[in-house]
Amino acid sequence: MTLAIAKKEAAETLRDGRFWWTTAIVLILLIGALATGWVHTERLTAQHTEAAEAERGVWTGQEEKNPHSAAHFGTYAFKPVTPLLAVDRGLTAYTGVALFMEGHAIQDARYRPAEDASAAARLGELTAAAVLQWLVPLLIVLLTFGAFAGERERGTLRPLLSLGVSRQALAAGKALGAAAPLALVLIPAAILGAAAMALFAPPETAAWSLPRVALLALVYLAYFAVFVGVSLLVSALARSPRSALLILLGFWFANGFIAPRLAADVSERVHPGLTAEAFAEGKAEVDAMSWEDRTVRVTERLLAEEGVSTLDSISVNMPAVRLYEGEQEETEMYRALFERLADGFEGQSRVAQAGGVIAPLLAVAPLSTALTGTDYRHHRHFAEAAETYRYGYVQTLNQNLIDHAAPGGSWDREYVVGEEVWAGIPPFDYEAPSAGWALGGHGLALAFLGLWLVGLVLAVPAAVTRMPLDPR
Amino acid sequence: MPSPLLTVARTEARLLRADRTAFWASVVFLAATAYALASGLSLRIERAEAARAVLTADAERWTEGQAEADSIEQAMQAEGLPLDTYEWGPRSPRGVRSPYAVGMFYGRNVTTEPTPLSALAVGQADLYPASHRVTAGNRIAVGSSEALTSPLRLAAGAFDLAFVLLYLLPLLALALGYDLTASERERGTLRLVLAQPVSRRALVAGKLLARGGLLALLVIVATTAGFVLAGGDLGRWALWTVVALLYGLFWLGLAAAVDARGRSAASNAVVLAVCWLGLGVLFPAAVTLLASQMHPAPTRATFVAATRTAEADVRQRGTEPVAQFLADHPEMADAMDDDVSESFAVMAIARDALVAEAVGPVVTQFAERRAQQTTFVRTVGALSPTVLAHAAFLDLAGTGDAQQQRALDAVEAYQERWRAHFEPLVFADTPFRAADYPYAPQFEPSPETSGEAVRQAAGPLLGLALAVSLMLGLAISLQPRALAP
Repeated sequence: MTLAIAKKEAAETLRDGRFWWTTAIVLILLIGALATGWVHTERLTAQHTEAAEAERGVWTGQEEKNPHSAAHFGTYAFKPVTPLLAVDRGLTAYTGVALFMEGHAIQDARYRPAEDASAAARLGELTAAAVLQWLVPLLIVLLTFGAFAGERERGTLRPLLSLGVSRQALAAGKALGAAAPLALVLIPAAILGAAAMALFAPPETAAWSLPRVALLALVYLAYFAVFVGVSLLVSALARSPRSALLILLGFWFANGFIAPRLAADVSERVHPGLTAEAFAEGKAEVDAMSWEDRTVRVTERLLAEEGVSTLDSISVNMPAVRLYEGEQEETEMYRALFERLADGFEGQSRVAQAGGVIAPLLAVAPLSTALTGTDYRHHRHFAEAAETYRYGYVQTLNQNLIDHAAPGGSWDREYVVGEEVWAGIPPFDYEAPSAGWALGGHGLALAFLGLWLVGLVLAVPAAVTRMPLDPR
Repeated sequence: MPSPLLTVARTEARLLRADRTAFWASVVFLAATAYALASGLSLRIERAEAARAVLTADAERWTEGQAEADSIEQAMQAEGLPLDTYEWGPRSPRGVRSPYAVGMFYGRNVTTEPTPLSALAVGQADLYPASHRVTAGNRIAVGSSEALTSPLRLAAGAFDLAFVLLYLLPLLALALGYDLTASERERGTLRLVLAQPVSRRALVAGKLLARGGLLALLVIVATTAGFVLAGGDLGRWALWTVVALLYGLFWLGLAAAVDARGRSAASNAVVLAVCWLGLGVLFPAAVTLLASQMHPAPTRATFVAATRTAEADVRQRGTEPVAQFLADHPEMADAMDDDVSESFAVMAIARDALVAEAVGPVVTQFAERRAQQTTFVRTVGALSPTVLAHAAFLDLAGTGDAQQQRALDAVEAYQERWRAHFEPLVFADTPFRAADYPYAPQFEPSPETSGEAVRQAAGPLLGLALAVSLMLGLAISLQPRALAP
């Protein structure tokens, strides 16, 4: 019976010219957004690769100098572009692309693309995510708002149930009937997209992307299922098809356009994070650490360790040891400061995700950005990888100084190294995290999406059981 | 006897009072307005405080530097030392008399206070650093700073009055207009009404008058509250209100035009939701995407790599950049003191000039592409009332593209003056005395005049007026043939 109802509903939808018309728009926008996004991604990737190569050339081509001078000269890491940027740009326009790595200091990546874009870009950019998050739910609402309310108004609900159709079967049939035509269009589109990626993308890109694409498809299917459920629920309980439609349009609008801004705004108030003053204070604290005190400390320790009385007779270069230990201390303090900043941002995004209880998009959007690798956690992952690399190479250079600079208490002005040391430091090679890691930080969002699904699976049949059969 | 138009409007106003959809839409609009004003104002206060803190700290540092220099000079005079010697600094406190330490190391922190109306339209203001450090010998560093605002917040955008007007006002207008005559037609009461001595055109105009009146009232309440709280001038308030009214009227007109097709209210709601999503969201998003596709600006990675390559190249050339710099600037060559010809500071100035020259083409390309993108969005985007209203709101609030560029240009111009003041001192190896402090260049932000803001906003305003007259004309002339469903 359920299947018969689903078939009839689906057939009606498929016969409706408006369905094909809107579906065509959805597909055209999806393909357009993905194609332009792909071109954009390719262009960015090429430029970032070229920049990274040029920077490596600058590094290895350094003239002969003291290893510590090279740590001050520093080097840049360029954030790799995620291959799924075309699907969802996420926060990439609002996080920096170039990260400077030098001795004594930590920085986050700078140059956020949004700074170079025009103000109208803040109205949003057309990506597949925009179509999937806004347009498809609208389509679902338009297809299903009349499911029960319409039949009730036309007076066909009572005769239908008198035929012996159970209300549960009716609810399941309506849900299936609404989902089938959409699935008929979207599932082949998703498979085609994945196949195109598997065929045209480089193998490692495809291997990284495919599990993420599969999970992404599941997340969006769940989102669409939530909209089908909400539509059926409202349709069962609403006074008339018109009021069902108005309520659903209100929900669609609030979910898609009010909730994200409101959640971001509220989360900043609830969870203020690190202020600019606190950040500046933290930096000043690192800068205020006294090199004189450290000199005394290191000197006394070295003298005690070697059992000698003056620095002239120790076996290592004291300033080199001091640099090494200074870097250790500074790094520790800087890392703690940046962790506080990043934890603040992540705390805010968790508060915003909690809004997923009211608006499903607040649970779906973070999952989408996580799976496409465009959320803040991925940016932080990159920044932390760069920080690990920075500390490693700076200390390699400081160690080189300890090992080779003339022993004693004064800075060895004569000691210089050249290309073999520069080339001996491997280039920064960033590996983006796996799909499992991407989802790991978003348990809350996953839980809320699950909650919506379970809640609706329970609520829709309950509402259908209790719904009035005659128009009021 | 009163004109039929007014009679219809009066009756319609009475009906509106009982309309629950209209009521709730108005309540939501006003509540969102209140929240947006609170949020926008607190954001502006925070930014203003941050800017003031920077300025105060900088002014204090400057005064202290001058006092320090003064006391050093008095001590020197007491000891009978000549005043034309100084310590280079910058780490020693005696650096306050060094043109190198003051001009190239300490520099000055400058900032532009947020405009009063940035509380109503944050625009791009939340993206740019609160302050810039200006030094000589460091031309290309302006504009890059640590990002301390949550990227999620930036991506979502501010919940300000501009947002409420751009997104919620259409919703309100559509809620007021989607069922202008549809239900009456469905119920058959439209025939009865038209049996009275009233034309269809007058009926629709009267209904639009009443509903447009409510819309206008709400808009005026929102903008007036905003301007009273934020404190803008009367001219900008008037223009801002006119833009909002035109924008709201456009959507009301669209709703009336769709209603005139003679379909059911539900069908109108469907069509209008799709129209709003298309015109208000997807089209602007597509225009931005196209702009960045057609005029792609190089990524900043390219800029950074070009800078680094140029810097490395200049460093490899030893003291030759100084020779080249002197050849390019003969006036500096004449004034140069031989003692400093190979100093760190002179090398840095010479290298900086060459690097800036080498990176010039990339910077120019950036600026060109960005200007092209803005022009593209402004012209093609004019087809969407949302893009037009957005541009006008930002321009009038002083937070749009042009004003942002203007603020950055002011900083760059100041840096140029600062450079021109200190570089000759470094070359001539002359101390920066206490008496020289008052003559160092001062930063003067050039706030935009209302006239300029109006000129900026004139285009979008005209476009909106055109769109509105088109829609209202369509709504009134396209009258339903059928009086019953």
